[in-house]
Amino acid sequence: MNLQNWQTQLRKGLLDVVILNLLQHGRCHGYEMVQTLKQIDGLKIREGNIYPILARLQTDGLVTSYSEPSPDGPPRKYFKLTELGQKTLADMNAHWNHIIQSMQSLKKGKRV
Amino acid sequence: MTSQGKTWHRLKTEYLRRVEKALSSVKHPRSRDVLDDVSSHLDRRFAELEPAQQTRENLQAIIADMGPASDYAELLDPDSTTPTQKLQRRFPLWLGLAAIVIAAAILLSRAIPSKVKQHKHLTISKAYWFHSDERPRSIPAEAVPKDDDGHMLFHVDEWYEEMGTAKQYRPFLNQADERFVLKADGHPDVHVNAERGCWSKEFYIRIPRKEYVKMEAGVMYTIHPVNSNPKYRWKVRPGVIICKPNQ
Repeated sequence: MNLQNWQTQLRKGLLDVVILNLLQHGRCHGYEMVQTLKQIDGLKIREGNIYPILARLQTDGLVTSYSEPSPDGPPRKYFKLTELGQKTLADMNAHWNHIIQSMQSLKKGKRV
Repeated sequence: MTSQGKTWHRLKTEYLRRVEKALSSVKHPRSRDVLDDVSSHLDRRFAELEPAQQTRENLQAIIADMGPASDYAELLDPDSTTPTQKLQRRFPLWLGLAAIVIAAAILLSRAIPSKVKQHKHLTISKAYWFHSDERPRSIPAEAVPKDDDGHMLFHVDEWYEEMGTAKQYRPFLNQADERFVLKADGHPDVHVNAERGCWSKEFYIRIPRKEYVKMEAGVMYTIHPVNSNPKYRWKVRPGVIICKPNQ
């Protein structure tokens, strides 16, 4: 088994929930999100990856966007969670916590 | 445009073309948004480099950091198959229809004008100082700090109601020459740049400090775009001038 491939697939699978978690603390623009993720061990992504995910989350109604003038460049596009996004994120985080607990139990040799 | 600027422009255009091609395989309604966002991201990365850092290696590293173009389609529509898989599955049908489609496309492209609107020129009908009462209220004064540079806004006439600011102006800004020269008889030329983008129809223009000090207060300067790209041109309405106020 190629460990690196597995890690890449795992990271890709988690990107949606990672981005939604970033946005739960308030509005953010794509560039800012990339910079934040760069500093978190294990969550560094290819910079371009964030934009198709944000576009898909918008289509799903979980995220919305708007533009604001920027003092140091063209108008900046900000993303924020919708009400549906907040609810979905809560469900996703609950599921994620459940998986973590189950994995811990499994590692300790307990039946899940 | 500097040689580094030209290299960057070429690298960026090539990358965006690859992303666009990859995205065309999923036909997602937000594909254009993704392209615009990636373009803005690249602009931002380039803007962060000091001139001395704008080496070919660093510019290529920015592109590499973005990841392969094929990632975009997969992440935008995870349910889609890869272009190769699609092609293999549909090969017989594709082969049979290819000639008809190509012929139809050629005929249609001649008969119907392109539906994608794009500004090929923008007409400057007014020039004014950013920190003046003429600035629309929607543009906050703090968006451009007062410093020793000169800060102007150019108002342009062209506007597509059905398109947002970034969508309609970014392609033009990516292609058009950003340089202008302010001229007044008997006074040295002043070189300025449209370098930060715009707020709706108001385009930000910076006069670098060393150029701004050359401007004489009370003198009327006319505006002359450099327009090195003949396909994307700035135009200036007759009578448009800018005059440095007395301090």
